[in-house]
Amino acid sequence: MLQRVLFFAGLLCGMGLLASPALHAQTHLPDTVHLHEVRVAVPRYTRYAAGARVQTVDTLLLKRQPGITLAEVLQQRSPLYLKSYGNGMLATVTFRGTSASHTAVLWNGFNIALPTLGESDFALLPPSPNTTVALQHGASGALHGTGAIGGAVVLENPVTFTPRQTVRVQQEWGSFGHSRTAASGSFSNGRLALTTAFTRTAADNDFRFRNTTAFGAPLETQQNAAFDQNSFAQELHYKLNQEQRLSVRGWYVKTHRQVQPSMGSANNHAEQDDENLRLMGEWQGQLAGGTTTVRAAWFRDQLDYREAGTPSLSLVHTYQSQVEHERQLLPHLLVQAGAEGQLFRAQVGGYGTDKEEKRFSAYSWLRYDPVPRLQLSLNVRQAWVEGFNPPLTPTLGANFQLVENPQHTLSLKGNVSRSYRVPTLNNRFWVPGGNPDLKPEAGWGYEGGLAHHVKTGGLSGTTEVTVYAQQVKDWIQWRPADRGGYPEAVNLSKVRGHGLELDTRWQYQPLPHWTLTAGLAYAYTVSRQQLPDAGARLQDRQLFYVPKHKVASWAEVRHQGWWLTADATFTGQRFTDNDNNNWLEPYALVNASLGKSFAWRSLEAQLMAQVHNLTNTVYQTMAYRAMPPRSFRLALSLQWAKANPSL
Amino acid sequence: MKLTYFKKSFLCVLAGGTLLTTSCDSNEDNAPKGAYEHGVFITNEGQFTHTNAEVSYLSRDTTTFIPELFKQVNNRPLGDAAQSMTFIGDKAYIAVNNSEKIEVVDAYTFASTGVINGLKIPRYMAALNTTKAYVTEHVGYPYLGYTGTGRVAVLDLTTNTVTKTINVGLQPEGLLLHNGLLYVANSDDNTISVINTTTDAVVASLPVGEAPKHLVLDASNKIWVLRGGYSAPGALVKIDPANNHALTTYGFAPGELGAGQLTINGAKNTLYYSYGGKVYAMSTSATAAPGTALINRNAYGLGLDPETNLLYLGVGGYNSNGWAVRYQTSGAVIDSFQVRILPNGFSFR
Repeated sequence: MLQRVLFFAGLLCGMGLLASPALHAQTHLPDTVHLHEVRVAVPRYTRYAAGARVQTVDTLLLKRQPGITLAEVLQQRSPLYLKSYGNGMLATVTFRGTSASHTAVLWNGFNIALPTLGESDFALLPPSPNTTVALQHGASGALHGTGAIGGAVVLENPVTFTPRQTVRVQQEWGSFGHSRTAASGSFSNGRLALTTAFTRTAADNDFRFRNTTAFGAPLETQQNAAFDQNSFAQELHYKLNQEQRLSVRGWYVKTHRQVQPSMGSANNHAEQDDENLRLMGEWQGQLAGGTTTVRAAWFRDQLDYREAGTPSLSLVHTYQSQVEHERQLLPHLLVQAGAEGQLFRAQVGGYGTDKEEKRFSAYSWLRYDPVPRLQLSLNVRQAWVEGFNPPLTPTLGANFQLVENPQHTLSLKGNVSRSYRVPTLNNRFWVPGGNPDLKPEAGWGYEGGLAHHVKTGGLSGTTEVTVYAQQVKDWIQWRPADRGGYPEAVNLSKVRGHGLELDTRWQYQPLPHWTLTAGLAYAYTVSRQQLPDAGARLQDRQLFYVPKHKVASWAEVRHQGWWLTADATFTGQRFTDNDNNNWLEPYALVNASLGKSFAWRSLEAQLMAQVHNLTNTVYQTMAYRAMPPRSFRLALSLQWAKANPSL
Repeated sequence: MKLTYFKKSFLCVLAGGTLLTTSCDSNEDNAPKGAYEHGVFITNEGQFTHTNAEVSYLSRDTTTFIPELFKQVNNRPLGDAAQSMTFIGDKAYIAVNNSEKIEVVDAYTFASTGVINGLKIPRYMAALNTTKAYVTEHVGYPYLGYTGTGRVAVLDLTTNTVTKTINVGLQPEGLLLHNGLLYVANSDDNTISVINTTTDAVVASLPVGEAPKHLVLDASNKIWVLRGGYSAPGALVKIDPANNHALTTYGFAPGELGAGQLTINGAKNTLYYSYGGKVYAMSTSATAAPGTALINRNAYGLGLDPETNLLYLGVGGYNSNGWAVRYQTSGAVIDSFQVRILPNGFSFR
């Protein structure tokens, strides 16, 4: 198996590098080490993540294909495993062999996981084009709070007052009823900055597939899998004076989905409506030698599911606030302290009555560079939840530069981190079976690695290798209640894992008008719990839907307005049950796109053609959930940007 | 026996025709009709919406155990949420509730022979004869907002089709045929619906109390109903069909809640049932329900092999292999077999 993966990886590298003698610089190099770089628009916590693995995702996809969901972006650009129930259907992401609820998702500092389920559906997250997406692999309870056991997906909309006026519209058409419309605008006069983005995506998903669960394995047309999604994001930033600014951000996503039945299940014509409204305000001021930030947010998350009769409704209001202060205590010592409060108000049919839960946490982050070659971070967070207290979660991390010269830097990194996850509202309040006495899950992660940057002539690249070990205790699972007849949430199992991650990204510019970029991310993941075999002897079993091997790779050639992009992923065998009785076979998936932009004064037009699943691979990421065969898309966009007089 | 075999063989030789050879080869007394002609069949419900339902097979001498019988024989998954399995004639019928189908297999080889579609959440089956059967259907789930009635579908087993549906109470579960009448337990209701199998119409509704689940018939032709939800203690209710459906209730002690499975021994004089996460035994001549449990273990599935008089308990979680555990009727454990997810029932043949 490993040989096969390495062959595949090698093939893609070769393909990318040989495809053209030149490339362009769209790879975003990770910023994890240099203290003096922190004032630029990188996630606010990055400077406290010494020794941890934080990877920015190439957000070119978001800009080229506004409306694309995080599910699609991460499938193409990360080594994470996505469990997708169909094209546009429920999609969850796991880091390092944990589960979907062990992935924290933060939007401009706030956790946006659905508090009822404790996880995020990545098909419901189409980030606006100016969003930066960073992936923190590994436990990080001190930085990201509850749920950051396997890792965290961090979405930020950076503040910029650079004067600009742009308007962009885009229309895309595709196979199986796919259509996507996007419009966005951005304005700033140096004091006020406004950004607006609207997208609408719809698909019929009426593709053909072979139903291998039915007698005779007939070819069928996928039923009940259409969806449409509207997203509207608005940002307003206002500079009160040189020291203070106000920001307001809103993100509204409304998604209607038919719920694609699995091949073996009846089409029960289920439908799901999700409506997620997120509003936040932020004030930031440079006061008393430090930076103080106050944030408040209100989320309204509605999820309605129905098969027959009246829908099953769930509505949660989340109120959050955060206060934090950051200051440079010494020339080489940066500290941030903060506190946050959350209030959840849930109206869920299954709870019987409306429920409320309050959570608080306080944290302190510290970054210390005793010598230029060494960066240390020490972070700690303590959370308080009504009824029980999660453990204190510290993190200690370090980077050490082994080699630093104009061409190369090589750093050694290491990190030890604790994490926790508060039981979800469903875990605690569902009737019957919800268990108010559940303990929070708690985990430890240990990692070390090497990071290498090179820049010589037209070639630059960064490569990071990480090895890790982790364990999660008191993992919450549902099991048949002792009193029988219904499921009950209990702190059941303990999961141990270890693995290796490789991430390498390159750009090469051999001639002035030729650019080549390529990247590859590989994850080797072992994540196991002990379960009895047929002889009742405990055996290590790989968690279900955790592939041991996943490779994601991409390459792009740009030349005078033309670009050709290909991405390919390889996903290894995945067990579909925890006992490892059954599994899905490995598969490879290839997408490609060709684009050309035409500029005329302040107008720019782009035409792009895409092929998804180029090799027409039959694959599933969840057992018996059919995925689309080869499909095509064509997009046309128009952009108008006012020439900036100050430039 | 030997003599019989010899005679039959002799007849075959005399007949000499190739057509007859086949029937002689599958000689009932001596050659098995298939690898799985006799034994214990364990229905594994599987994870809801996951298409990993299965049937496990255990030979009575325990020398043969096949955890994934359906997939092994038919090279495809059984479906999503197997509810029950019923032997009728030479066939076995597996009701797969979230696939909304009944898979039909050869009772001896377990090879798939057909499927009955057009059902809504099929639960349990009972056969009037080898051509006509009934299956209870939930139609919808209350937790998803469904408030309509449940129903019973009438099946034509020669064509594998639904010929009629009969509306009954909410969430019909167990059913029992006796003396030309079909008794249906409406588990989200307080009644047993009685259907005339000649007219296929509901003729009576018996008020037995909250949440009737399963029914069995005892040696003196009394029908026993296990009932009980989560708001008040449940009971065993005895129905006397010969006496205008007179009801006698054997209430359970307060404290425990939740009716599970009900079965009866081969002599049809001892009831075994699961309730409140424990397994109890009660003689059909007892005057009150037992106060102490036979087995302090939560049985998701419960069965009694009428041939060997051994009790089978199905235990396990929602996302890992479960166990079929064999007990003496004294409550002493014998051994266990690792089956698949959520063993919810046992069929003996």
